[in-house]
Amino acid sequence: MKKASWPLWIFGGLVALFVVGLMLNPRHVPSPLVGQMAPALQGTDLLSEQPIDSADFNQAWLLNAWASWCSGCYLEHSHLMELTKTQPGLVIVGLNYKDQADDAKAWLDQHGNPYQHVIFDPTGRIGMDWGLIGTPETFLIDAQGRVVDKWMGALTPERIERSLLPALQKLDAKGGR
Amino acid sequence: MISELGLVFLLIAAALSVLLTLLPFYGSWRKQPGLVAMAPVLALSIFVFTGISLAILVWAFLADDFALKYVASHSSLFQPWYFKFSAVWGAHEGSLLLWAWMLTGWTAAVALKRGALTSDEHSLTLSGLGFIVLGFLLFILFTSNPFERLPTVPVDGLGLNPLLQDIALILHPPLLYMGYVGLAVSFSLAVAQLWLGEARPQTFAWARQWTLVSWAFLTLGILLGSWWAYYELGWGGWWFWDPVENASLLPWLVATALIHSLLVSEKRGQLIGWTLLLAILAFAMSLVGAFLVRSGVLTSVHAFATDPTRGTYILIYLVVVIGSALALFSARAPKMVKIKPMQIQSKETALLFNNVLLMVMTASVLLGTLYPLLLDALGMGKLSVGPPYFNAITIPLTIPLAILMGVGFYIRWKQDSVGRLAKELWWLGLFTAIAVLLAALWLMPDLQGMALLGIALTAWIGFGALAWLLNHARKTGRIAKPMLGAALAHIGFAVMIAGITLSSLYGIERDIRLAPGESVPLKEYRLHFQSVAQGAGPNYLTTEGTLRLYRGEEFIQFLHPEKRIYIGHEMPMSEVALDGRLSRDIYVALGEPIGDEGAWSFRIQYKPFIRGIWLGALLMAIGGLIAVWGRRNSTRATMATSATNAANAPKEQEALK
Repeated sequence: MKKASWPLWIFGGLVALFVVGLMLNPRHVPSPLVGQMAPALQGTDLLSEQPIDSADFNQAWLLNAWASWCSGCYLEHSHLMELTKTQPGLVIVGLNYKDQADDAKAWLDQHGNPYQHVIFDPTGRIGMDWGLIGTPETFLIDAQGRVVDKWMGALTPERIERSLLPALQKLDAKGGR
Repeated sequence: MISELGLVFLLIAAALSVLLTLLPFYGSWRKQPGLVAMAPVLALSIFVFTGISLAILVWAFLADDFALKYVASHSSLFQPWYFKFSAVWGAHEGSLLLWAWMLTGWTAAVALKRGALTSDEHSLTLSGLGFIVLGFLLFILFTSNPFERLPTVPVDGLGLNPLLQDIALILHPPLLYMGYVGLAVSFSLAVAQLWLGEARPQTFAWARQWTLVSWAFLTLGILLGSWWAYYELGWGGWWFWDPVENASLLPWLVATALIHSLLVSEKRGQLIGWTLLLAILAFAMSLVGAFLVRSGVLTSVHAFATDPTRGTYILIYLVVVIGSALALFSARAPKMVKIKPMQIQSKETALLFNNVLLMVMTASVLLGTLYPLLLDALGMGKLSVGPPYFNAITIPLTIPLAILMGVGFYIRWKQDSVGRLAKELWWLGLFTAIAVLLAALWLMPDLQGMALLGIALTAWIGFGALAWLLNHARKTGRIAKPMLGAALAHIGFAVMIAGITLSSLYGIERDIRLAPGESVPLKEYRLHFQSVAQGAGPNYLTTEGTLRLYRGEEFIQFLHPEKRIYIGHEMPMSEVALDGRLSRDIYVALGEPIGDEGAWSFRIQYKPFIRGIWLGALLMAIGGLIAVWGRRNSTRATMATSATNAANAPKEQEALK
């Protein structure tokens, strides 16, 4: 037995993998939509009952899928409200996913409405086009209609600070707003 | 107030473990027996102080002390007392304290039982264990303090995760942890041996005893986990190849290999480097498992709530403990090992094959478990590795392993020949063939090749082990416990193969809809759906179905599958109803109501001989413990005989020719 250091090297490789692993988030599932043109968003506004078409937006916007039955949506709601104040120009569109119209309206009355439009999607048909896995889920779309990024689960102040705001700044720099 | 004491006792224990790390080491180095003699006292005190700390946490749970964040998050007023008790280890912080306490228990036991170890080996082993204990205690103190207080005291706690409110889960973690930390003993001893540069057969014999005990606990822990998954998760599966399950299987596989290679090192003075490496790897796998489960690098259905600082700590700990052991190994092992040629046809070679197969299995399971992480790290996307991969690698590796197991007992040390074995074991082939034939007749209309193979392997191992034991008993007039243990453990594996094969190939799973008064046939049985009623338990609301199970016209029993909603938790929990016999399980899980006529969906399963899986594992564990118990009583006697055996071996060999 001459060389007995190979276990140490294998172990070193394993440790390197773990170090990298600690820096990754296994729950972060990239959307195939990121970098692609966003699907058309056409539907009826929950509150005004007017037809809405994302082709008319002509600026960067956030799509936030939510429902009154979803506890994660409640968690992130105050942060969305906050965002309407800190980013006054930002269009936030709600996608009310598999919900009852009355429940959804009551929920917005009670907790406040951060959305410029709320598209009502009781059957989940629109959500399917966007590849929703669950609620809440948030997409950032630039003025050209391209999906810039996507966040699964509730937006936390940390995620907004570290990921959403920098993405917006980048858009500003490129003129994508 | 008393809970602050819990933290204080942990601090004291940590301080004492610094002493336990240093004193015996320094004492044995500088030949100061006074320092060495302090080790047992230190080890015992650490055990007692950590125990008090754990007892205080237990008390906080039983007394509903919701001022503690950990208690408030995992217990509630209406939880039955036994679930308050088991909630202590229901999440990360408490389970880690339990883990640490068990480790101190093993350390104290090693301190009290020097056995055949030399004073130096004993001191250095204790010193190593002291260091490992210290690492765990610091882990708790720095990142996972179970005694942390809440600023305001809630009126009630959040309650234990309902999935964990189960009898099997009271025992599963303690047994598993006993196994995990027990492997620290053979690890520390291996490091001590490497440090001292000597490998005596008696030391390997001693290590084998301790490894067997932790292996037996590990087996029991995995068994209960699998049993829990089977009836609590409501899907009827018993092993999911989930990263957390794999985390327990990996140390088990290495420990199994270690038990066998220790035998070669003890009896023949061979495979010494390999054995020492396995001892390091077995404990390394325990720690890697802890890292995977508690750091959040992998997603799993039942990972702990994760926190990157914990992951970082375990990783540093892993690097320090395992890295230094492997570095020592690479420096010392080449000098300790004298390669002696081994005959291909001999017991040592057969055991080496066993080891190679087990380690290939370990490496493949590890690869499958880490593959998603690896791809993610290389930026190549997300994926998960599922049962098809794991089945595809473990099944083909188990077949040669099982073939070796059947004949392993009969192969002679040093030199044997296939021709001689064939002459001695022709009857084993015959018995196996008869068993396969009978099984084929029994399974007749639906004959599957894999089923016959499974039965052949079961018969091969089972008859082989049984005949070996009986033959010895006949010759010597008594049943030697180490042999009884070994035979039982192997028979257990055989029973497990039968359970896995038959239940997976001949099991029936159906999702059905039944209205009250309707029946559904299931093999020779019939399930009659009677009604559904609402009820309440101590901390849950339940919807309970009532079904009647018939065999032909004969009523067997009522089955009551439930769906429970625990207070404070929204997810409904399925409580399956089982009619379990050795020969088959009938398994009914309640689904959802369908339509307005009171109909419900059910998942019903018929699983032939599925109990064999857990029965087999139980036999394996019992076998391991019996072997230890037998050896313990006759260590000295065996040592004397093995010395004479070693001296006489060449002569015997001559005589046999």
